[in-house]
Amino acid sequence: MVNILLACGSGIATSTAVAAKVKDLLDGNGFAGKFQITTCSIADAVGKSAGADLVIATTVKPGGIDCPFISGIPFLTGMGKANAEKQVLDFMAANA
Amino acid sequence: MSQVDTSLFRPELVFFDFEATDEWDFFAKMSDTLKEKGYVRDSWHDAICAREKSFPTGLQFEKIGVAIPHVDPENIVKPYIAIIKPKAPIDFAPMADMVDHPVHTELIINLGLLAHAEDQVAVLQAMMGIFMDEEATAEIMSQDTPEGIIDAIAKRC
Repeated sequence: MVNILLACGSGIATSTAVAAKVKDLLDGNGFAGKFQITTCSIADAVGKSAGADLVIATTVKPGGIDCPFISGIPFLTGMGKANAEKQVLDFMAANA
Repeated sequence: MSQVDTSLFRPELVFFDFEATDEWDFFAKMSDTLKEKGYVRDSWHDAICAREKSFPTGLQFEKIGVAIPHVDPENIVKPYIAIIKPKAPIDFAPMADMVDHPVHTELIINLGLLAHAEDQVAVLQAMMGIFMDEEATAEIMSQDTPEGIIDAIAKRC
């Protein structure tokens, strides 16, 4: 089980929107049931990242996150989306 | 998929030709309007300015710059989504520094969302899809009535 933290400023709005996109991407690429997405605020993500495999966030990467980090902005705007999707799928292929 | 709550859009919260010198002037004017109409608390203005400084919300789509300023639910009285088309583009800092310049915002979507309301976030999800779509964006930006712009968005949610 790959634990993905999905963070934004508050943990309510853009993290939830991006989480839905990432879930659809992973389900559609054969990873259904192999991951768990938890949404949270970026402040909480720092503390929770020790127990996570990947952090995706709509904020700048804060200090104190040691696991891999991918920007969630392309999932909101579509700009650079192919590359962001590839990063997430490559990570899953290597870790799921 | 959550159900999309399009009742969050209200004609009284659609503004055309909104005049503001910058985003801070915009927040000051919006605060007065939203308070007067009973949507937000007095704390909203300080909260949204602080929030935008820490976590800016300018989003550069391929064809348009959009900002989605929002604050934590404790500053909201009743949920809403306000749509503001400024008279001249207003610069917002880019979310997560994704581009190296301010986002010239032609449309501002101010989200007044309550906590753990999936149906409200579903509206945000739907809107992101709209602004990725050139044709949908053009149709929305060509509207000149509150009902027209709400219909153009709501039918795609």
